[in-house]
Amino acid sequence: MERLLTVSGLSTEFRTERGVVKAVNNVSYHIDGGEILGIVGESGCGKSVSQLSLMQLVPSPPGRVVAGTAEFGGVDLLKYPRKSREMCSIRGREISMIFQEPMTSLNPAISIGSQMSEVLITHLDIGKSEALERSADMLSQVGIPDATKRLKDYPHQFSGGMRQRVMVAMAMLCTPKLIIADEATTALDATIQAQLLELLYKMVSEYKVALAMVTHNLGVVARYAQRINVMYAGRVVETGTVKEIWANPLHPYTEGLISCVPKLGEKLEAIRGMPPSLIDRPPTCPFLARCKYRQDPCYSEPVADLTYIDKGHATACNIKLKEAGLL
Amino acid sequence: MVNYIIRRLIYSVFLVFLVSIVVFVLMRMLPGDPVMDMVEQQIAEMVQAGHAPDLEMQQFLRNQLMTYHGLDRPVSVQFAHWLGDVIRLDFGRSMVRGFDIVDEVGRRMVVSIYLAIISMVVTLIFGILFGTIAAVRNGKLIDNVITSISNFGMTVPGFMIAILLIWVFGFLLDLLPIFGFQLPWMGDPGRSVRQTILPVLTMSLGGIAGLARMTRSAMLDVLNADYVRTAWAKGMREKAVIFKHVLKNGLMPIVSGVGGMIRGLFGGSVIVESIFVVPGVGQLLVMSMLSLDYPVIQAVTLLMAFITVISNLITDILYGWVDPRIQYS
Amino acid sequence: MATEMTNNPKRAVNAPPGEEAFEVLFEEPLPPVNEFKRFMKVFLHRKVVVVGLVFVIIILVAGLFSYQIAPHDPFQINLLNNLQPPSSEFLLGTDDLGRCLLSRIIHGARLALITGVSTVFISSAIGSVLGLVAGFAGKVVEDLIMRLTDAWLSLPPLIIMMFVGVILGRGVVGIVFAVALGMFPGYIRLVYGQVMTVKQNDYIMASLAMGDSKMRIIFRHILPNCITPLIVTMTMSLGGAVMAEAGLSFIGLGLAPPSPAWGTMTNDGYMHLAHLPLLSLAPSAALVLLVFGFNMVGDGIRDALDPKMRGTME
Repeated sequence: MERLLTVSGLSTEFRTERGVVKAVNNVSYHIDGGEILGIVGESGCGKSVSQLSLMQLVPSPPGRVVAGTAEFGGVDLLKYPRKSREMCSIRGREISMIFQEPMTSLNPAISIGSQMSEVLITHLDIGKSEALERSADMLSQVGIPDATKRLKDYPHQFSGGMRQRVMVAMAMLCTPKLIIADEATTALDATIQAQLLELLYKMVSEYKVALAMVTHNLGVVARYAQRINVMYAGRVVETGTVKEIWANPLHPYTEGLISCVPKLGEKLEAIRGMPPSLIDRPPTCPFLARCKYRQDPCYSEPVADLTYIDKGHATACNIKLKEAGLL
Repeated sequence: MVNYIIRRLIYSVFLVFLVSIVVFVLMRMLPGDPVMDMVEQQIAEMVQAGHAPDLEMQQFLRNQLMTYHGLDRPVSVQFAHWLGDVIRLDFGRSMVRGFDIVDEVGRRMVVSIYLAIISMVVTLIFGILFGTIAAVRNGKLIDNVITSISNFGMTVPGFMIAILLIWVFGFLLDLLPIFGFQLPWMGDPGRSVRQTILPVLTMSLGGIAGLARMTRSAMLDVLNADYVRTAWAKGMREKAVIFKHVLKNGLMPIVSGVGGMIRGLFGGSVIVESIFVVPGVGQLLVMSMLSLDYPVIQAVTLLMAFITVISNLITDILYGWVDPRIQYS
Repeated sequence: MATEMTNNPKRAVNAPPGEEAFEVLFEEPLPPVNEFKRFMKVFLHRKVVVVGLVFVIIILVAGLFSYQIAPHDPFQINLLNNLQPPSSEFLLGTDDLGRCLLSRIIHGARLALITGVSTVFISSAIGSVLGLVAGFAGKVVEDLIMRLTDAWLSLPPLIIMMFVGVILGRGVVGIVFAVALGMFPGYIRLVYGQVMTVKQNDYIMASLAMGDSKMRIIFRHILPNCITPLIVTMTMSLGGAVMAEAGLSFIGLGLAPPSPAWGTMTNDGYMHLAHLPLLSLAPSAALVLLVFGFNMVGDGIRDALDPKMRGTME
């Protein structure tokens, strides 16, 4: 498949009372057409912010994209002003986003039908009745019964799981090239979560849409994604195919995440300690404090950039890179 | 829904009833003797006619007047009689000036409501407009200008606005009439319009400032809401996001403030009508309070309470219309 | 936990038995934010709040030391020298009775401050007590208080103030109570609302289940929850109280002459607006500065006490 999105050197900062938070720090990755990429990490590791940065949806102030490029369809998304015509014609048309908060992501004062059809009316040259028809069609495809009738309903008349289905339908309306699902299932019950993931998977594979799946749950990603980005403290610390990462994690943090996934008959192991503060970080490895394998040089050497060890499998662990003779 | 409105209407009537009790009691606590002026007037007439009324005569006249106006009966009986009359929509006559209250208050009410509605419309249009602009351009120069002016505008009391306007437009520029008012269909419409400008400005400037502030903060809350982020993520242009997603939700808290605004407008009319010599109910109320014209005070306060209660009801119904989550139960 | 971390940067985490223990390093946590410093920082962050604070301080000083500051006796009548434009002796000129306008404005500061502050204290005290009673007494009392509050709020406050003002007479005490009675229903609703919210919390249920008395619950749980919104509302309504008092004085139902109330002075000067506008504009300008100051200080305090504002400042 051809290359869909190439992000390089993306950095996003938040200016706060206590100092500048480097929420995303020199992040580079790519997504191919029709591919499912998992983006995994703990809360506050920059996975959501990196995705919002691409869409130019980082709340500003206090947030600001300070560096990087994001090439998509021959243009650099980060070059366009956030409210520009060009950016608006990409959002919702070429790249859609599904958010974490099912309760607040839909406008409580506007009917579902109106909120869905406006996507079509904005991007495609079609009338209101046709837009409503296509919305109803999409709603029934995501498994909402009585779709035509329910177009008139308001968000508070839907359950959390149903609202996320509406969000999925809304994201699919224009058949975009890429959908970003930002913790789309996290706030839901486990059973609903599984249903929704299946639905999302079905939809993107049916329409050949690429999916960037942001989650803190490695198990979820392993099931659906082809490749995984592991993020820690605003950086991508490891990237590779699911198989490579599962069989041979090249970063101690990834190893920790894998042991966090519950497996039958095995004892669960947690990563000890807390993620570090992102203000005024020293140039050393951000995972140092929680690392089982840390060595003396780690305390003084600056952390390495993400470097490919195999074709497609890269890590930012100084120790692993030295072993491979790359540092 | 119909049930809800009926229940609210019954409660409104009950509230107005409570208000009239409170006013009745307060009124009888006002210092002074309402019939003494009338007694003195009669005595003066008698003196002119060559009689020499003594203290006994004065007392007799006073008692006669008290009986005539029913003031010699216990307050509770007076209240019951008054209430009985009101139910038949009979508010009686002014004790002091003798006019028919329904006639006079009705005529003056048209003037007050006319000015209040114009002020309300002006306030809503400019308050919401400025507040929205400030919120959308948060932190920019225009936001700072609007916020500073409205911060300052809220602190200027109505009478000072009136004095400034009179000074500037009346004396310095000699552009607009500074007192008097006539409804446009009662005489010269051009003059009426010019007479409308200063009172309306006085009544709305403070409200515009307050509403702009309120709108700005409500809009800012909404601008940061998740569903607005969703709207942006859908690729909608700024105008569509603001008009479709921000404005309606941002207006919800403002709708609930409109009831309070109506109450404030009628309170403000007391001052504005006194300054600009507008023949409305506010002016009538001040005059009646100074002359202790009980039936007029009673009628005007009852009317104001009625208008407030009804506008609160309308506000709540409007609120339910704007916010589909509200269920009337 | 926080102090432990600072004292013990390298603390071993207890490993489950059978596993090798390794040390987790804790980074130095960011120093805890000093609450008072944070308050002052947020409070003084907006320039307009600082300006307002300066106005309030100036008027406060004028009010406290009016006898020392005022160049003339504010009650000294001199009919030979009335309605004078500003001069080196009378910086703002003289009024229709020949009294020094500047001195009267300076003395008026004390009146404005006294009426404003005591009005807010009285209305908040009455309102809070009634709100608490409504929240805790039985259904009958609750209904009685809340329905009367609704009725009270159905009349424009100015009209209630006019009534009470006339009943109690045109002295400082009368006006303070008049304005306070116009404003107190807001406090009833505020405190009542807080009581209703707090009452729903599980810890109140737990308290009741453990047999705590109502009084104890009021003082331990309800009042602390009411303090912040009360402080905010009180500072925010100071300006309104001063303005209401001036409005009453202006329509001739407030402080009686010769007291140098700003509203009364504005009304007195109104007659001479055409040729000596200062007589009317100067006292109302003083009023505007004070109200502006109070409102801005109120805004600043609200922002500084607002938990939502924590950690959001640049």
